[in-house]
Amino acid sequence: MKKKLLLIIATLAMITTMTIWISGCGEKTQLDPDKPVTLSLWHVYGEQADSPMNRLVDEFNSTVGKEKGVVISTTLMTNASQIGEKLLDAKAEKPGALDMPDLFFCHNSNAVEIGTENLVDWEKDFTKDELDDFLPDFLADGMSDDTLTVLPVTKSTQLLFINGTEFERFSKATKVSYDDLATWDGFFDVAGKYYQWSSGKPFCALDFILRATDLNAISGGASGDDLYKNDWYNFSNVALKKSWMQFANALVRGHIVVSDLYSNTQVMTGEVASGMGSSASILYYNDVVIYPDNTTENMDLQVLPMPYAKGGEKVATQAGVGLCALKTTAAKEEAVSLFAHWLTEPARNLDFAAETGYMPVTYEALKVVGDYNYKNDAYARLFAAFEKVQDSYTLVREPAFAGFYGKVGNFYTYLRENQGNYAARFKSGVSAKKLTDETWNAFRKARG
Amino acid sequence: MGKLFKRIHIPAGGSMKRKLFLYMLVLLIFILLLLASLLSLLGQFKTPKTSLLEACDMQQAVLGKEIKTHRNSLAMMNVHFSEDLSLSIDSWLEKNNLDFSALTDSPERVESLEGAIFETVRQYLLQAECSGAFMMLDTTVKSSAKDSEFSKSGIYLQVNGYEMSRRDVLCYRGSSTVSKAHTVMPHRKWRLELRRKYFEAYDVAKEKMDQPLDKACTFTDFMTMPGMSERAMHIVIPVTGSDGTYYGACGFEISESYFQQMFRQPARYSRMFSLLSNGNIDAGNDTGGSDTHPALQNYFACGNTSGYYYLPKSKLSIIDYGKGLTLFTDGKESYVGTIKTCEGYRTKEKFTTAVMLPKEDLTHEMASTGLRVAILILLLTVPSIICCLYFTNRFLKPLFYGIELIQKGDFSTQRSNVLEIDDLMDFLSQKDGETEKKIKGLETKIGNLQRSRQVDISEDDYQYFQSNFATLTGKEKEVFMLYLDGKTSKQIQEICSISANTLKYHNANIYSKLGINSRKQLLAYASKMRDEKTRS
Repeated sequence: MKKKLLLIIATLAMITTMTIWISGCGEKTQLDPDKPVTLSLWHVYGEQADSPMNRLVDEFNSTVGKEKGVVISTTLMTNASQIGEKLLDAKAEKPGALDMPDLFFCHNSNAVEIGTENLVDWEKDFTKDELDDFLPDFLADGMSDDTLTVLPVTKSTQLLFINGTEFERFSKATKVSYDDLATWDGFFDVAGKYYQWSSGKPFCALDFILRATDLNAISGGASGDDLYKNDWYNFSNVALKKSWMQFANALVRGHIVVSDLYSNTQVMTGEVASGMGSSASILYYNDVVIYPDNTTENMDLQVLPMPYAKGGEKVATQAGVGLCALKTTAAKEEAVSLFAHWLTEPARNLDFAAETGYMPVTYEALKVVGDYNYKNDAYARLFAAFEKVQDSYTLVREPAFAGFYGKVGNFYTYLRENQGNYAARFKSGVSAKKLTDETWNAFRKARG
Repeated sequence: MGKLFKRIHIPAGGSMKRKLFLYMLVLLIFILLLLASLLSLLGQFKTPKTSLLEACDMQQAVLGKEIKTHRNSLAMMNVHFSEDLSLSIDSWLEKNNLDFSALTDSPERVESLEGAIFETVRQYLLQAECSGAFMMLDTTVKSSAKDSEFSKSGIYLQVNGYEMSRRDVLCYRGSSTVSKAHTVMPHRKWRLELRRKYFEAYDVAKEKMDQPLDKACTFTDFMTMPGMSERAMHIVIPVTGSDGTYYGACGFEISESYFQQMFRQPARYSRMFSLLSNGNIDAGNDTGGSDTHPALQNYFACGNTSGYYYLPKSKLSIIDYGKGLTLFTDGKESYVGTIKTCEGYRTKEKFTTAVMLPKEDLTHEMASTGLRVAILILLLTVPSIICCLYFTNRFLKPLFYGIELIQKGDFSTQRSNVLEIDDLMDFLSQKDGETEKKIKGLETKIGNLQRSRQVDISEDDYQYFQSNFATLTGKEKEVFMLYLDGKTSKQIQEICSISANTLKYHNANIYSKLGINSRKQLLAYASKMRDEKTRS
């Protein structure tokens, strides 16, 4: 009897050992091609017209994803600000809110709002060698609480997009040149001349006038950190006020405007001659300008780096969202890691960046930016501007305070609603000083 | 069941083991058949192909009905849309005291009219289940421009994203000033006017301008939207003034993204998806090669709500797959499902729906069903074998042991532990005792008899008997032998055909010649003589 019992125990032990040994053989994976893990994705790459990211997702799903058992499903394509709002709605489980996505592109400030503890730490998914190929500034942009929660996939900066055909006519008439747009003083001067030349049309629509204000101040010598206080602007900072007043002066005179939403729409309807916005907006620029009488002309889009303060340092903003992943199941986290690695492979990263108008994020991809075969002249000009920025500009990180962009958005709404009125009042004789003071007061009162 | 067993012929004369094995086998088959019948009755016993056919049919019925209802609803709304726009334009023309032709080459007037109809277009866009709504005016702001006959003014609005909580509207075509005045931003691929060549429905609508509105609704084929990668179809209807002037065409857009989002259904199969084609199935040709079969060329595809799917993008050949199923293949990937052409309720325009899943999923399903059946049979067979072995050990072996004991005749010292066998052994043991007693009695009698015989026969008389036996006549020897055979006097008379007196005469001679005086003595001497002869 005892012998029988020993034999049974020995057999069971052997079977258990064999099972553990067999399952231990080969790669340990939670993924199964027959039962794929589906990851929902929210992204910003393409909205109304086309989506290079969706094409990339299709490629992933039908190749690596199919082979390993991962399906990425885009459930929302919108802008970064909408993603920020919807993430908070989803987290709060507001009625009608979308389900929290497994993967999403957002700003660092959004990641902080979601909670670092709820997000995947990319430093655990990528080896040190892999992370060493990323530009350190871009990685630093994605850190919060010493955790890399926002993985840089692409980065953008702000650039000046100009309707080349219109500027050519303006240039011939007034002798201004693109070189005049190198400094902010030159930019405001050109804007004033264009207003006169075009009989009252603004020269430029700015998507992010406050960021331009920051850059102007920093370029003029102000410390970036001193511009902010208590998660909002430091209104006692003299450089901030001086910089804002320059923009406000051009705004109340009607030389520049805050864009309706994206400046490219105003450039394509001929309302303005240029737009200042994210490098990624090139994806949405029309190749033609269409005037109200349906006269259509080639836009001949020119792209320049942001102006800088005369005699000051050349600074450019480092913007752009990064990839975040929600901590969920082990299988999903493995799938997330697979997709993130695939997405940031240097060749793919460059292809994607070149198509979307973003800067690649790895040294290997950046090395070959100049040799890339771009799809049209506008894209080639965009990447030439990128190279200038990379070579001679200092990249400055954007503020990432919780709630910061809500207040910024409110102030932009105020300016959009009132800029026409300011210009009309200026035209009717109200002094620029009075009107710019009004804008300063409105800026100070802006709340989230 | 008893009758059934009676009908099953088990060969007679077989061993108990063999008989039990055969009965158990029959029982197992019977249970399997019963189980199969029950599953079949409950609808659980289906082949993967049958299950797929049922799932596709159901999916297709739901999808077909949803599309019909949707199209009917859009057609109905389009009639109202056309009537409302007609009234708005009439009203605007009357208010401005203008004729419709006065719009041509006048951006200001067109902009003013677009402003007047903008809210109507937006309201219909938000009310109808669609991704876009448009009013294409039969005019242009610049007739001197190249290809101006293809350029048409109008408003074309689209929904940006399909969230129910938030339906942002974008101006895809039309005055950006007007759209911004209505807080609608221009689409990033915005143009001022619509190009007729991209909106083929415009010409169709114009052809139907004299028809009643409920007959004039047209569904277009799928086309790639200008400046976008997105494909869409249009539902278009003419807009005419109260005086019969053709104002243009209005309608709705269904984009592929909208179709994918709105027509996804729950499905039993995780990779099942549906296709919609507006009836344009390429009939194929009979020249052989890849174009031999009819094919689905231009279609919308949507997946399901619960699974994942890789939607096909290229032309799909349609091949019969048997059992009501159809094989769809683009040369690289193959799918299996069903295809059906339907007709709208009101519009009578045909559309085709197909529901399918990757062929490898069906193959996988078939393999796993086979495995499940094998496991089920194994699960029934193995316990049955174990039961048989158990029954053999617990029932047959004691029986065999009992039989062995009986064969050995050992009834009293060992027991079989089977009540009936033990009873039988007791019975046999009792009978055995009785028989032994009888045998002993008989042996005693035989002994006595032998002893009595030995006393009656004296050696001198027997010598005399032997020496005189040869003196008997032939007839006397015959009679003597018949006595030895145990025949009675009467039988000897019949055999020898002699009378009783003749027999008495022969008997007297035999007795006197052999020196005996009774038939008993004669039989004893004869018996001894025969024994001696046998021994020698």
